[in-house]
This record gives sequence, C-alpha cells and structure tokens, in this order.
Amino acid sequence: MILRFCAAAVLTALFAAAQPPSIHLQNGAFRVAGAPFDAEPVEGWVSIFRVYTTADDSQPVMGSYAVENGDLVFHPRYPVSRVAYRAVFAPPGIGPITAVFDPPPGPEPSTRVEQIYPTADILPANTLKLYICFSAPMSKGEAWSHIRLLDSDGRQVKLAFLEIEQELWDPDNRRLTVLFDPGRIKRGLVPALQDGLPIREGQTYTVMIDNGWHDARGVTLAEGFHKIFRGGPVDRDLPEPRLWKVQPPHSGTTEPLVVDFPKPMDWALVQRMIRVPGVNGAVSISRNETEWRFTPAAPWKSGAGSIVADNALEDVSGNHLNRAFDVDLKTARTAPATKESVIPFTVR
Amino acid sequence: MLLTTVSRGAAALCFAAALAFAASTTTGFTTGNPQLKSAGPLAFGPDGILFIGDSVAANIVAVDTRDAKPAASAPAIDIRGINQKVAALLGVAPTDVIINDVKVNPISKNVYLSVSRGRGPDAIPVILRLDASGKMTEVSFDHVPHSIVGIPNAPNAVPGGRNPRLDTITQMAYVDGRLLVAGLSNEEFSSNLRTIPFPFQSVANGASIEIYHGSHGRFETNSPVRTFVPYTIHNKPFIVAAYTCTPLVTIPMSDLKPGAKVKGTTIAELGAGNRPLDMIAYKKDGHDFILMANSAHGVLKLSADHLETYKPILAQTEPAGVPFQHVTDLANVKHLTSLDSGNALILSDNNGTMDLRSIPLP
Repeated sequence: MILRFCAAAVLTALFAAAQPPSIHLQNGAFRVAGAPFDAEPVEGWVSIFRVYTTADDSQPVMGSYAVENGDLVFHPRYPVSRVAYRAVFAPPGIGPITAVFDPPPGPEPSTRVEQIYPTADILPANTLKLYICFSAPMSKGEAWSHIRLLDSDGRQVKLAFLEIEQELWDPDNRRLTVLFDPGRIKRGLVPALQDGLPIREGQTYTVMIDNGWHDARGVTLAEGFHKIFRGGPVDRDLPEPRLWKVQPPHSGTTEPLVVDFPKPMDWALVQRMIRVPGVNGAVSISRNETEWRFTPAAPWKSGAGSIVADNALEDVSGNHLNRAFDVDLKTARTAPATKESVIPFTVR
Repeated sequence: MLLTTVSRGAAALCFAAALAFAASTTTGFTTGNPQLKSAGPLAFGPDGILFIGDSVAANIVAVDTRDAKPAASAPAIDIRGINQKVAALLGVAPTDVIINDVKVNPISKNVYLSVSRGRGPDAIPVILRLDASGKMTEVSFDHVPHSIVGIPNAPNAVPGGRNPRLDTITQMAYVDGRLLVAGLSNEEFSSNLRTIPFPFQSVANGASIEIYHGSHGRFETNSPVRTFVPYTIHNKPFIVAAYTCTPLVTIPMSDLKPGAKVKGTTIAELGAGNRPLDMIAYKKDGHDFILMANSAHGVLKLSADHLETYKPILAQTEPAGVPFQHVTDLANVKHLTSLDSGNALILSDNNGTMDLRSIPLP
C-alpha cells in the first residue's frame, strides 16, 4: 500500500507538544500512533477512527478496534484488498487527520485460454456444451460479456448460449461450462421454432473470447482466444458402445487399452465414466475426444477383461449411451433402463 | 372461570407444542462454525432457520439465525447502490462483490443477503442482515447452531486433484418439512432436483429426481429445473417450475420422491430468448398470482387462479397458456422475493449499480 498524505490537522493543545498523530497501514491493520488512547469514547472507537473505501463517509469498513502498544488499531474484518483505503482519525475538538492508502500496481496480464472443448473442427448443429479451460483461476460473474459466437460474416449469433447468472465453473474457476441454449436445441419448443438451432450445418462459426475478461486477481487476460469450427449435421444418434472399437493390450506390458469412438464424446464425462473394474490406471483422451486410452499401473495379465461405461456418458450433443438428448416418443426404441454398458475384451 | 381455565390449558398446550416444534426444528444441530466455502441461494425454513446453498463445498447449511422476533410487516426499503454499500462494508471495490441472493425472514421481516467478497475461487462467503432501521450487519458464524447436509458428487476423474465436477445450486425452497433444491451440473445435462427432509438426514447418492420435459407430448428431455416456487392448487402442494429450456410447468409435490421419474405439465411457454430468474406466488384481492422476473421479458404477472384448469400445452404454439401481463415499471430485476403480505422486495441491476427496494405487490 502506498500512503498518500491528504490533509494536515489542526491540533489542540492535547497533541501540540508531541509529534502530530499519524496513520499507518501495517500487517493488514490501520494504526493511529502519536496520540493518547487511555479510554474508549462513549460512542466507541469507531466515533473517532474510521476506514473507508469510498469517497463519502456513508459506510465505513467493518472491523474491530484495539489499543496495542499505545496505538489505536483497526483490524478490518476481512483482509485488505486491492482498493484505495481512506483512514480518518477525528478525535473531538480537532480537525480530522486523513490518510489514503493506494493499492500497489497490479500484476501484468498472464492468464490465457488454454483450450476449448470439443476440439474438433466440425461440430454437430445441435452441440450442447463447450468447456473453456484457462491457465489460471478466473473471476466469476462476467463470462457473458466476454464470450460470443460469431457467424462467417462476423455477426454475433444472438442468444446462442444459456447465460446462467451463476456460471457453471469448476471449484478452481479454471474451467467454465457453456451450454448452448437447450430451448433452441430441443425440438418443438418456441425458442427452437422461432430462432432455430444456434449452429447451422455447413456454416462457419467462431467462438470469440475477448481479453477484457478478468482473472481471479482482477487482471485481464493476456490475450483473447478464438476457436473456428464448421457446423455439421444434427446428431441424434446414440453413441452406442457396440460401435466402439477396442484395441486390447498385450499381457505383461503396460500398453494402453484403447477405445475408439465413431464420434467425439463429452470431454469431461468421458474421462470419468469409463472404467476397467479391478485395474488401476490412468486415463487420457485424444484424437479430438474420439479416443480413450487407459494405461494400467501394473502390467496386464492375460485373460478376459471388461470395460464398463456409465450410460449417462454423453456425446457432444447430449445423447446418452442409451437415451437421446430429446427422445422422439413416437419413433424411439424402448431401451432398457440400465445404468451401465459392459464391453468385453481379451488381453492378448 | 371454566373458560379461563380451558384457555389457560389450551395456551399451555400450545406453548408446549411450540416448544416441541422448536426443539424438533433444530434436531441434530451442533454449535460451531459451519465453515462455508461459498454462499449461493438462500431459503428460510421454520423458526428463523436459514438454509444456505454452498455449491463449492457441495453442502447445504441450515443455520439457526435466532432471529425469530415476529414483525407483522416490513418497513419500506429503498437502498440505491446496495452493492456499493456492501463493498464499502467489506472493504473491496464494488466490482469485487457479487450479491448471489436476497431473502426475507418471514418472521422478523429482516432481509438477508448472500454475498461473495471477491470473484475468484478464494472468494469469501458472507451473509448480511438488513434490519428495519436500514442497518446492515454481518451474520456471524462463530458458535451458531447449525446442521449440514452434503450433496453427493461423482468421483474425481483424476484422483488426487480437486474434483472439477460441481453441482451449482440455483434455487431452494422449504415446504412442509422438506427442502427442495434445484441445481445444474457443470458436466452432465440432466435434472438435478432433490427433496431433502428437514431436520437433515443424509442424501443418498442417486436420490435426485429425474425431471423430464415433454415438448408437446412428443419430444422428451431429461431437463434441469432452474427456478421454481412452491404453490398450492386445490389444497395440494405443487411447484411451479421453469426449466432451463424455458417452459413453465406444474409438478405435484407428491411426485417429488427420490429416484422418481416426473414429467411436468406445461402451463405456459413464454417465448424465445428469455430465462425466468425468480418467482414468487401471492394472493391479492382474492386472486392468486405469480410474479416472475425474467432475463428478457422483464417482470411478468401471471394470473394463477385455478391453475389446475389449464390443459397441458400439447400443440406447437406461440407464447401461450396461463395469461400474463408485463409489469412495465419494473426493469432489470435480478432477484425477487416476498417481503410481507402486501409487498415484494426486488434487487435490480442498473448498469452495475444494484438497487434493493420494496414494491407493492402489483
């Protein structure tokens, strides 16, 4: 904090003989030195010493007072933040002494968008979600001012996303989930009938993120980011496991067990919704989210194994393994309401 | 004399019943600090119990506010720039304050604000109380009687790190011994409505209710409920709910059982490009109404008499169903809550300046 001297005080005889009182910000507390603080005023210490973040005196910062080593100390309830503080010491009978503490210069921008998922260049016209991943924690509450979907002419596609005030971040504020407006994707609803799908097949789009977005430190992004993609056909097909291609590993090795999907799967879900019971290992996702690779912690043993997939696993259009995003009740097959799908494989 | 004796006896019985009820609402409570990690939606239960949705900790905290001195009505409230006042109180810039919710204690009529001090993952959750004099104070969580229930989460995809999956709680309401909680996952697109008995018991994994939305009787989606309001139809408890995909539906409370598959009855489609934000139900001049704040359509007043008589919307139509009118003198309303029998409290955002004010129910 940088101290800015604001106003000199006219002191009474009480302080005339000594150094004039001074206000300091030390270790997160505001301290008045150079005055006697023998007894708390009837109206409390707050009546003679207040700290503000505003130009007017309507609302002081909340906190507690103590006399420490002869100084009057104000401990803010919460840690000092990157804002200018104005501390006013105004004992009765003398003019106020004011000190302003400016915040130190902020850090340089360094946070970036690392990736937007799905990573494919062609996305189904009924794509349901994007995941935007950042290199460092971000600020909450301003996402919808900084994310735009532009068409090939650079015009913004209006109301493409479900702009939820709460914003669907992960706990570290490093990954934001962006839903395309489900009302435009789901067939038959007024938004879908009036505005249609946000993405049209054959058209080129850009997800544009501007660098005005603030990270958790309150510093803007080091640079903007854009992802260009083309609209593909609407996808309402189930991502059925029977269509997955399994590459079994060799026994005695730690080769990855590889599953290739005929179409991209939801990047976040596919990392945790497929498992190999009884085998510890690490999962990685590659090839534009069409490949799941499982590397065991210990060499494979020969014999039969199984891959178990949670049927809640979605493709990028929100189709579950056994249930489409919006089921057409007139034509849909009745799928068994099972929780999991099992895909057998044999270690070679 | 007999009457007096009976009255005294009745009073004693009532008192005993009240004591028993008061005791039952804090069954399982412990005294200490509930250690909030975030403060999202609020809801009031019986006896001044405040429910706080803590999405980051995947918890719901019930706190005994000990703020149960009855007030028949609330004073008029008109605080311009309340976000600036909150920021000044908490010692941050106004841009570093998010007011996540506002609710009124139905007993004391004191106003409670759910606030984030900061916008990053380390933001500090703060609950503020605004009393009848207009004084704003922090609700202390040191040594408060409280009870916590966890919201089950899926296991971490990458063990060891922080689990990126999070259910964001979007709305809560207490109805007849149950807390209803609506949430949105940042991974799966599916309904995430839970009904949690209060006093809290544990929430079993998979106990959420599958809410489906049937579009015109043909296309059916497992749809998250984003906001809702408890509502009574023919003396039976319902919720009037808005899905993420816009339509307004009614769902009987009796259907909301863990593991159930429920399909709401569409009673209104409010048009494209709009998101319902908050709803309250009220009665005026013998008629029932629902007041709804929206992202694009402003504040709508829905005639809610005899909701049971509206047939489900099964045809592809223009905005239809329950009749509504625009309340044109209310703009940019983000939160809407009941203040007392004749007034509502609104939090509006006017280009970054947030105003909190009471309005007569229209």
